[in-house]
Amino acid sequence: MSQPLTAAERNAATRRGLGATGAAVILYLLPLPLLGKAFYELILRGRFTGFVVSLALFALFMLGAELARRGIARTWDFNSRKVALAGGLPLKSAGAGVIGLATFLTAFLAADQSLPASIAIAFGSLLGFFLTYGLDPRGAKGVAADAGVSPEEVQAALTEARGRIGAIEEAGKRIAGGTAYELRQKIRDVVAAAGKVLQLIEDDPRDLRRARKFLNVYLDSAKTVTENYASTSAKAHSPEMEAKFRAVLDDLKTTCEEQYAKLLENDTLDLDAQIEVLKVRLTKEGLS
Amino acid sequence: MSTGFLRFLGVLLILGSIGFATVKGTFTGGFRYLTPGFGQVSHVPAADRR
Repeated sequence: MSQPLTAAERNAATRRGLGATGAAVILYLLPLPLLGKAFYELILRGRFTGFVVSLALFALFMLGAELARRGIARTWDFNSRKVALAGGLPLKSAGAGVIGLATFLTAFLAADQSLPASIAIAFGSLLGFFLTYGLDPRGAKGVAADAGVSPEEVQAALTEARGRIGAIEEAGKRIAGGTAYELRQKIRDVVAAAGKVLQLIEDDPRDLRRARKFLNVYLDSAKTVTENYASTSAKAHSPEMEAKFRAVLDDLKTTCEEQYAKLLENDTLDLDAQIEVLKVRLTKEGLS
Repeated sequence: MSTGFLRFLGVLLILGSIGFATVKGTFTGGFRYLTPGFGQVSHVPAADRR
C-alpha cells in the first residue's frame, strides 16, 4: 500500500482503516473468551502455566486479526486505485496462517479435540477466512502493455508528485499573518487543480510522458515557492512579498488548469514553454 | 454461487471454527498436556465420586 501523502489521501486512508477494522471485527471478538479462560486459570485455579498459555493463544489470534486488518485495508487501497502495484508481504495470507495456527492450537490444547478434528477445525477457519476476505492482490494493474511506460514508472512518478502536493499543503498550514486564510484557500485551489492532473495521468498512464515536466519541474517549483513563503511569513510580514505570492498562486492554478486541458487535448509543446517562463519568473522575483 | 453467498458461508465457517475452538476451549477448563489426568475417563462410578 502506498503511503497516503495528500490530505485527501490521508482522509481516504482513515476511512479505509475504519472500514477494514469493521470487516475484521469478528476476528478480534471471537478470541475474547480466551481472556476469560486466562483469568479463570490464574485466579480460580491458581495455574500460572494455564494463564500464560491462554494469553499466548489470545495474543496469537490478535496478531492474526491485525495482519488481516492491514491486509484488508491494503486490498481496498489497491482496488480503489486505477494504477497500483501490489508488493510486500501478503498480509491477508499471513493473517490467515496465524489465525489457522491459533485455531488449531486452541482446539487441540484447550478444547480437547483430537488431532484430526483440530486440523479440520483449523482448515475450516482458513477456508472461512479466504471466502470472506479473499486473497491478497498480486502484480500490477492499470497500465496497458502498449502505454510506453511501466507500472513501476507510473507509480513512482505519481507517488513523487503526491509527495510534492502533500508538502505544498503542509507548507500552506504554516503560513502566518492576517491573510493566511485566504492564501490557504488559494493553495487548496492549486492542490485541487494539480490533483485533477494526477487523476488524469492515473486514468490514462500514457499521459505521463507528456506531463513529466509538469510533475518534476512545475510541482517542485510550486512546492519550493510555498515552503519559502511559509517560512518567510512566519518571521516577518511583507505586503510586497505577499502580493507576489498571491499572484504566483493564481499563476500556478492557471497553469495546472491549462496542463489539465492540454493533456485532454494531447498537446504539451506550448505548456512546456509556459512552465519555463513561470520558472524564470519565480527565480526573478526571488520566490524560488 | 454469488460472491455474497460465498462470503456469508465464509463468515459462518469463521464463527463455527474459531468460535467453537475458543468457546469450547474456555468452558472445557484446563489444558491438554498441562493438567494431570485431563481428558481421561474416570473408572470410579459417578455415584461414588466425591
